[in-house]
This record gives sequence, structure tokens and C-alpha cells, in this order.
Amino acid sequence: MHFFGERVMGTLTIKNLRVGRDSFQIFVKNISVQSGSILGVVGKSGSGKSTLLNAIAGFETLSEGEIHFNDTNLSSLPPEQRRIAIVFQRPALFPHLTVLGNVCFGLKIKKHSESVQKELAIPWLKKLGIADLADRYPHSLSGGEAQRVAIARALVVGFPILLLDEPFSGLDVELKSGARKALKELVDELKLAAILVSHDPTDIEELADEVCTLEKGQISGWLKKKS
Amino acid sequence: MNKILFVFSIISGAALVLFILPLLNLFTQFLTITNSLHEDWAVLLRITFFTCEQALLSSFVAGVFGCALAFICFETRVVGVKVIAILSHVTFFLPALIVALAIVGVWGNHGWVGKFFPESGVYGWLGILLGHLFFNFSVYFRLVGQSLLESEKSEEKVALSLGANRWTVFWSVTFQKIKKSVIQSFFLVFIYCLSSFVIILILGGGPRFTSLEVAIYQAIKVDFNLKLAALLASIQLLFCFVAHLFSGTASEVRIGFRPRLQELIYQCRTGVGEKLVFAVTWFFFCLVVLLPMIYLFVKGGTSISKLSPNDILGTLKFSILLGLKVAIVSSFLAFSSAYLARHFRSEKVKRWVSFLSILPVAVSNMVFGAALLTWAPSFRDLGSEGLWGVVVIQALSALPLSFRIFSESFSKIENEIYFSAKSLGASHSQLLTQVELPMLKKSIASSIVTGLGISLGEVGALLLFESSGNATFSIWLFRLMGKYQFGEANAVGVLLLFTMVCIFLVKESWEH
Repeated sequence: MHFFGERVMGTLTIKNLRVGRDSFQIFVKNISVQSGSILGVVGKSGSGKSTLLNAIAGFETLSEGEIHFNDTNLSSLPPEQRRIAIVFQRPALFPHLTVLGNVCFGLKIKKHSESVQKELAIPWLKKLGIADLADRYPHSLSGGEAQRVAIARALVVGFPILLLDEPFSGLDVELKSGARKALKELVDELKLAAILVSHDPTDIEELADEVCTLEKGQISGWLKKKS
Repeated sequence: MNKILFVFSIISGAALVLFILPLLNLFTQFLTITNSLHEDWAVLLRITFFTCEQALLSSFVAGVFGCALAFICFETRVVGVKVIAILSHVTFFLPALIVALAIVGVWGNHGWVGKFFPESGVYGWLGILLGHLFFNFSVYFRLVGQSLLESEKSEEKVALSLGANRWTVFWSVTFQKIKKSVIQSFFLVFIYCLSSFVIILILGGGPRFTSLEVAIYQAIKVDFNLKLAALLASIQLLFCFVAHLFSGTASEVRIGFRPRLQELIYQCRTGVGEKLVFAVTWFFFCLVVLLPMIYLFVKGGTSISKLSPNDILGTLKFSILLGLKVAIVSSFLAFSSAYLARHFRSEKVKRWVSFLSILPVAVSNMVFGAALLTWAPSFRDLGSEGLWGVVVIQALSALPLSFRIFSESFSKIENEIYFSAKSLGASHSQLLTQVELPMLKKSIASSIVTGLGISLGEVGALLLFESSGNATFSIWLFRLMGKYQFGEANAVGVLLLFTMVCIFLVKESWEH
């Protein structure tokens, strides 16, 4: 598999992170996720799971705390410089671009030539089983296909950190099972430090190496799974 | 603040200064000149009273017709709802001059309908009310119709199952749901009628029917009295501004509107009742809307050979060039403002940007023209033959509609799209060029077509500023009507109507 840029391995560390205003705050004392492992985050609706992911990705301003990847302080960087890929519950594909255009978006931003973009993107399309959809536009895709495009788009850029916000919630049971398997393999193969937010206990059970429970914006419990 | 936001803030800020400063100057003039004016205050009071009186009455008449039509079309099964819906779009976009011409043709002493009632005469209250009704019923039809379509029918079903009759259900349930949109439509139409110029100038037919808008025009072009124009414009601006504050709705006018099928609560239960509703609806619709449009096509179509092809081409070229300038300026301003309203962090700033971008709805072209001339008389000579003055005024009048188009499209771009692009490394400028602009391609086209359409039908700014003798279709039509050459006027009217309908169809096809 080809990657854009050098693959970096290490540990994502979050310390004393505080986000939000008086009415609702989340406070996370200490989280660390190593490359090649998935941290599962569970909690009720409104417990702050998505806010936590948005804060790590740089879409929420931190009141205090720091986010590091190895020695790099990510919290001082804007989202576009953090090298953190994110997959949302909704695929959020760019409607004006084809499947290939969507997957190549991050490569185009880095001004790679079209031939290089294709060279890097097509293996991912094949791996995720969407190569024959390359010329289609998002509106003509099913939910499962669109979500696989979103995952390919997030992975092709070769960022070391992957955030997943309920990525399988729009899929039916059969697709879910296949998608989980593919994701697990990718995280292992690419040695990604991943955080997965999900409501579905099966997602967490099958994918997460460690699980934390968020309650009213604070971590209320940890569970480390036996390998 | 990112660079793009900064640049757009500067552009919008500059436009705001150009818009607000002349208006503020107008009010300062108002405070300083009231003592030095030697006008007959009784006349001023009469003009002000008439302006408000005709606006109130017109809003009421259009309201009764528009609401009834919306209710009948969307709550019962009248044949031809789609035709009515499409025509209600067209009437909203038609230039006032064409409407005035068509109304004279149908309701005038020698007109298709008017010849049967020669003693009543179209000039005066009848003409003014018919003209305003033609335009403004569609505002009620669309806003109230939209509320009716969007409302769930479960409350009505519950009320019916509890034994309420249909009249009670209407007043106690359905009307409560649409009340807000009726009130909003009323204030919006009130503003349009307050600042109506062509309809009153042509169909008013005499000094007794002089409104503030017409008086401003006369003060500038006939009396050369800028001070008086400033005073009149200030009074008009004050009324429009207050109505605008009450309405808060300009942004609610839907550009695209399509009826959809829904459950019918008020459907007539007898075949006779249904036929009666159908007949009455279509009778009034034909009299007020359809007949004037058919008249134009029939009369104009047969008179088109009276026009010289060179005149037609020259006018078309001038109209399109001017319209494109207006469209580009207004679209650029509207895009900047909508971008700020989407991306500024502060909710307060977002609200202000939206409010100020919609504000030109409350400022008629004549009032803004008077304000510009009072503030900087050299505006009359800016650009070749004063055209930049016209471009500024027309662009500002197109701004609210264009802003609406862009802000709706911006709001449809999900946050996740922005987050995905940013997480993949897109800078603000890359977001703009590679995500937002491609996604807003249709809106940009639609906004340009809107600006073009508004410029084609506009008369006031051109009458105030244009001095070269060049003419758009509207001005050509205005001049022909002034010379009582109604045959040629009909032909120009049909050309203008044809151009507007083409523009409207292009816009519709892009939007849907």
C-alpha cells in the first residue's frame, strides 16, 4: 500500500484537556493512545464524546490542557496542520467531486500531480472495494459505499492519527461487520493511533483495545481489554 | 481572523459605508432643512398620508386575494395549481412598467374589460390597487402557501375528531399556524407599496395621487430641488424602516417554491362545491393576472414590426451590459456578506451582517438615488454618462435577494464537510476555491441572473442618473408611454416580457 508522506508512529497524549463554556464543559485528565491501537469512547448522548473528538481535531477551542503526538504539541496548531484524519457519522463527501476526486482531495491540497494522486488513491479504492465507483458522484452512492469513500479519503493522506465519530451507524448489520473487520486490519497494518466513538457495544467490543466511559463531560471509567 | 475573512470584511465594510453614509446624510439634511424649507406643509402631509393610505389598502387587498388563493390551492384540490404557482413566480419578477401597460390595456377606457365600464376609469384608485395586487399577491401566496405546506395536519385531524367543524378548525388551528406568515407578508408588501413608483406615476393619473416616491422624482427631475427631495426621502425611509423592523421577513421570501401533494383537510365534500371554488378562483385569477399577460402577448406580438431591428439590438446590448455590471457587483457583495455570516465566530456579528444585507429592501431606488445625490452630487457624472450611479443603486436593490440565495446555499454546506476538508490539510483559501466555490456554482449563476433581471426591469435609478439617451428596454418603454405611442410600447413590453421570462426560466432550471 502506498502512503503520502512518511508514516510516523508514536503516542497520542491528551493531558488536562478542558473544552466548553460554563453550561457544559468536558474535562479529560489523561488519555494516551499508541500507534496500532484503538481507544473506544462510550457514553450517553450529550456526554461530550463528539466534542472530545472535535477538540482533538482542532475544531473546538481548548480552555486549557494540551494534546501531543510524541513531542509535537498539536494543541497550538490549526486543524489543517495537525495531520489528524477524521471520519464522521455522515460521510460528508464533497458533492461536487467524484469518488476519486473525494479520495484525492487531501493529496490535491498538498499539490501532488494528478498522476501521483491516482497512483496513491487507486490502491485504497481497491482495498475498500470501491474501485468501480471511482467516476461516480456522491449522490449516487449507497450509505455503505459513501462511508467507505470517507474512510479511503481519511486514510490515503497517511496521517498517523485517525478519529472515528460513529462511523458505522448508518450501515446495515452485514455491512457493519465487514467494515469493522476492514478497519481493524487497516489500523493494525498502518499502525494508526485511533479513537473510536460509538453507541454500538459490538463496535467497541470488536475494535477497541481500551475503552473509556464519558459521563457529563468527564471520564468515569476505564476498561483495558485482554489481548 | 483568516485572510479571506479579512478581505471580505473590508469589501462588505466599504459597501456598507457607501450604503449607510448617504442615508445618514439624508437624515442630517432632514434635521437641518426643515426650518429653511418654504414648502406647503399641508401638501407634504397630504402626500405622506396618501402614500401610507394606498400602501395599507394595497397590502390589504393583495392579502385577501393572495391568502385566499394560497388556501384554496394548497388546502383543496383545485385544478391548475401548478399553473397558478408558476404564474405567481412570474408576476413577482415582472417589471412594473409592463404591468402598468398591461393593466391600461385591459382595464383602460378602451381596454378589453374597461370598455364595458367606461365611466369607472382605470386611472386612480382602481389602477393603483390592480397594479399592486398583480405584483404582491404572490408574496402572500408564497409565504402563506409555504407555511400551509410545511405544517403538519395532525392537529387539524385531532380537532375534527373531537367534533369541531371546519370553520372552527380553520380559526383555532390552521390560522394560528399561518398567522405569523400573514403578518410578515403584510409588512413586506406594505414596504413594496410604500416605495412603489411606476405604478403610481402611470396609473395614479394626477397630482391627487402623488406618493412620496413620485414626489421625490419630481423634486429632483422637475423642480431641481434636492433639499425637498432629501426631506421627502427621509420621511419615506422612516416609514419603510419601521415597517422593515416589524416585518423582519425580507429574507423569508422564497425564490424557489414548488407545491407538493399533502393531506387535504378542507377538501369540498360535494362535487358542486368543488366546481364553484374552482370557477371563482380561476375567474379572479384570470381577471387580475392572466388577462393582462395575454393582452401583452397579443397586442405586443402584432406590433413588433413597428420597431426597428437596430433599435432592438442596441437596446438589448445596452440592457445586457448594464445588467451584467449590476449582477457582478451585487453577486460579489452578496457573496462576501454571506461568507461573513457563515464564518464569523460571533453570533452577534453574523446577525448584524445578515440584517444589513437585507436592509436595502427598506430603501427604494428613488430614496437611495436622492440620498446619493444629496451626499455626493458628483455621483451623477461618475462613469460614462452616470452609469456607475445606476450600477450602485441597482446592485444594492438586488443585494437582499442575492444574499438570500448565497446564505441559503452556505447553510446547506454541512459542518462535517468543512471539518473533513480542514482535517485533510485545506487552508482557508483552499476551502474557498476547492470546496465552497464549486459547491456554490449554481447559486453564483442564480445570483447573477437575479441581478440581471432586476436591472432589466428597473426604471427609477436610470431616470435619475442616466443622461446619454441610451435606453434599457424599461426606459424605452417608459419614453414610448410618455409619448402615448402605445402600439410601439406594447411591442417593447412584449420583448421585455420575453427576456424576463427567459431569464426566469434559466434561473428556475438552475435552482431545481
